[in-house]
Amino acid sequence: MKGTSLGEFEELCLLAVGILQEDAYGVSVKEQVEKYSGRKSTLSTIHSTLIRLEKKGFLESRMGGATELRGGRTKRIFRITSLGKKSMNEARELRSRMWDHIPKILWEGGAV
Amino acid sequence: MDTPTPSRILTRILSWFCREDRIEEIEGDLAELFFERATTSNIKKAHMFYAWNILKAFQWSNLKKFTQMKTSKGLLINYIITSVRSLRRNRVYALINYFGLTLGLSSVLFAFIAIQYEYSFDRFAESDNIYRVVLHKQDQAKMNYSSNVPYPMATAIRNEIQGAGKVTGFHYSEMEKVKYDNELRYVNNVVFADSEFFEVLNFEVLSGNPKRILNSPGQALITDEMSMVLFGEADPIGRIIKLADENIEIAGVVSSPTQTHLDFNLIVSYPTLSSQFTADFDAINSWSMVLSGYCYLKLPSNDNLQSVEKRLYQLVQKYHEGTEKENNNYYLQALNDIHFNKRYADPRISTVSKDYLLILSSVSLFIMIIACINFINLNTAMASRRAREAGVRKVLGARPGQLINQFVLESMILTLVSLLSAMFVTWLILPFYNTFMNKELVISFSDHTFLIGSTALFVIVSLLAGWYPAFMISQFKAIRALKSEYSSVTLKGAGLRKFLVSFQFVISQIMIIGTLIVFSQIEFIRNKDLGFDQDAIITAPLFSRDSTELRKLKSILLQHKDIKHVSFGLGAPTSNNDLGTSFTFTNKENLEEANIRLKTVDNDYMETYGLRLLAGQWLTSSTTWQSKKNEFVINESALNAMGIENPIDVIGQNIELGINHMSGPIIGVVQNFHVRSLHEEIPPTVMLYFPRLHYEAGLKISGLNVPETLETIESAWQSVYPDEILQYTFMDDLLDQFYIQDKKILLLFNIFSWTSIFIACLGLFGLIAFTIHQKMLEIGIRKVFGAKSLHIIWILSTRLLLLVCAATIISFPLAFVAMNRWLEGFAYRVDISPFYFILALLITLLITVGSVGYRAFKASIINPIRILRNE
Repeated sequence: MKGTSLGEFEELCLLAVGILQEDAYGVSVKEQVEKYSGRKSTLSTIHSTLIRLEKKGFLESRMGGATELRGGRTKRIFRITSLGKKSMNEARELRSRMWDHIPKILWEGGAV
Repeated sequence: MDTPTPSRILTRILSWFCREDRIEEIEGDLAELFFERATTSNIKKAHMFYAWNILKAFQWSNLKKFTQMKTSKGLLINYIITSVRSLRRNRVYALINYFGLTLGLSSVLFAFIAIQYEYSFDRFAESDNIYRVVLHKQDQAKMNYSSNVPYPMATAIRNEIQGAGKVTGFHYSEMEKVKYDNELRYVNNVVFADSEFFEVLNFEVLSGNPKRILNSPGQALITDEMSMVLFGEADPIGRIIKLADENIEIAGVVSSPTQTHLDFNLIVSYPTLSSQFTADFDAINSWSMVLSGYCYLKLPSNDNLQSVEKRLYQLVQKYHEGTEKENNNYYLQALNDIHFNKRYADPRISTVSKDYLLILSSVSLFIMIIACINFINLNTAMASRRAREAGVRKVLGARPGQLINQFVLESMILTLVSLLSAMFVTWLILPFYNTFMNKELVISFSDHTFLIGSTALFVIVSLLAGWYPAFMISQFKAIRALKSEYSSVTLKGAGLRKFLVSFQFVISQIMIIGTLIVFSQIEFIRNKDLGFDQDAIITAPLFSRDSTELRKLKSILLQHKDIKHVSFGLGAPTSNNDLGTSFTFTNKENLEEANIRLKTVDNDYMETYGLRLLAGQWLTSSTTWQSKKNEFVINESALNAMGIENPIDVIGQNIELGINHMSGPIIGVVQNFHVRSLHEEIPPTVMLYFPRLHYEAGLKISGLNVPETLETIESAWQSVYPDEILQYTFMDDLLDQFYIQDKKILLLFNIFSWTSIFIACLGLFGLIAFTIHQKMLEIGIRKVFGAKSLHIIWILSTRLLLLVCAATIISFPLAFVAMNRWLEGFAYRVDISPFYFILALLITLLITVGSVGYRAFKASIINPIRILRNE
């Protein structure tokens, strides 16, 4: 199904938004992604990913929360939509289902 | 600490390309990241990171939707192809435009770099708050301006004026004798600075603690370049050099100053300064003697400016005595003003007047405009050739806006190619300009302002040149265009072309008149009688004032048959070597005072330099070598200052000088000679014998066997001053130094005006070629009816010649005003005669006939059958 699939980086961003709840916007999402994945990302990558996710309907956004630190400009705060939750769950289930099918012996036994 | 803010320019760039609905959050996020960076690491990195982020934000999804961008890619390619084709088809016209634009753009780029260079002078930390104390000294005749102040000034300000911030005082010596490793050298520009020098002017210190060094007597900092000269690669720290009679330890290194009015090679601590560095005058603690002392300060805030100046006035009241209490006043000159203000400048500092920069920029802009005019003229004239193409495009649905886009794009292509060539040309020119003007301009493609400037130039020029022709073509009615109803005869725009061509003539004529007047003024100066004989005179510095040594030197020199006269004094008649002081005299029983220049001379001075005596006698040898009695010779200006008409009447009158209250009778009057350059009027001058101030020898030679004579002079100096190096100068060279700046400006003027005339000619050439092409039929028919060749040439060129004449209505008055202003800088100048204007008119007429004539002639002798056969 085109448009509903989640890319790996997209999934990271979605998860970060989930963690942050009410405080998910560009910079904070970037921080979370960097914190958990341990890899550097640029703001513009995060931005375009968030916007793509919004287009797909997984996120919704509103403006709010201006601070002085931002030169008085408001943030775009993201929230996961129900569609987003659903697709996150699907992704998770898909993985666990596939995990289940990896033969245990092969996996835990080390070298084949 | 101020909170850092992200660069506003970068933010604006972001808002320029970014979609409105995205900009808010992106700006906010970037600002947040910037502050985080700025606090966790340094600000510079934060700025770089910010710029990088903005660059990364340049993504398709973030871009504004430009309405104009709807032109499809295929159409764009088609535009480019047709543009290139059309340029190739009209090769001659394209080349004319290309050359014109390249020259025009080069001159603008060049002026841009030159002006940017001049404005980058004296960039210190907080340079907006740095000031120099300057002296205004009133005398009867005029106000005298100087950047030299009494030596105790800095200490007085530091101790007595609150809110003056950091203050530094220093002595500046143009040349000092330095001995190291038994080798003697002259080191230029030696500063004796007090310990706050580096706090006011933050020159880069490479090693050593400047504050401590400048507090300790006998220590100095050296520039890295000077260190290379004196010590080579070796570490300069701890080395001892001998400066005059002092042993100086090098304790620190500064990097050589660049682009500053305050050039130096050595900074010696102020406590080292003694009277041996101030010509044995006891000036260091004196308020009444002004030699080469300077005082700079860095105000904590510019709000203090007025209050500090007010307090300076109180210092005058407190420390100055006598008439100086009323006549002297001190002001603060902004550091940023020093490089551009000639008023306070020493002769050794080259300032650049803002007028010069204004002339440079306007002349280069004019050249650019001339090139643009060519472009507009040729393209509107040739619009008929593109009419059919425009018609077809319109029939196929092109809107006027799209047509404009297409033709502007064409001009952009040409402009871009020209701009790239212009950069190359500028790059080629700069080294020549640098050696010629003694500057260090560089073209730097990584420089922001240069890149932004040239981009702006590109956009402006391609719009300026391309928009009107494009607009005109876009307005064609499709049907009429396809019926070939547009020809250059029926086209509008002829009026505009006439106007533009006359405008070109206006500019060319102004430049020609300017060049002519500058040229004749400089010739006038070079040939003006200076009031003394300047041929075959050599001047050389004296290294001691010891009378036995001087006598010995004189006798050795005079033994040679080709050395006619030898004279010692403060300096040649026209030189910067004189002292400013005042003298008092009795005028109708009132004691009056006047400011004068004082020149010290000896009994042979008049004969050596060929001064002309008007009355009385010159100082005789009996008065000079021995006597303690003072006798004075004055010049005509001094006579006038005393209010006496007949020189005989002044002989025997007693006068008293401001210096040391020396008094004595006037024994002679000489005809005026130029004491300073011809930029200045001849000041009242008094000459006396005063061997303590004999610093220069003047030698009148026969002019025969010059090399041999020079050898004799050198060996004479060698025998009297074994420790010194002789540096002699020919008087003519010395005099040339005064006008070298004017000469250089003349040459620049020449180059610029010929460039502009050349471009204008190119345009005329193209225009006339086109007109003839269009008028071929007319010419053919006229010839069939018996018109003579000359008549045809006449028809073709009268209009242009009329335009040339019409242009004078504007160009003459403008040129008159401008040149009058330039000439005001000279006290002695040529009159602006009608001759220059008539000559300029003739030259432009000639040039027009020259560029039009050949084509017109060729057209006039053509066989009419060849033209009319096809009809």
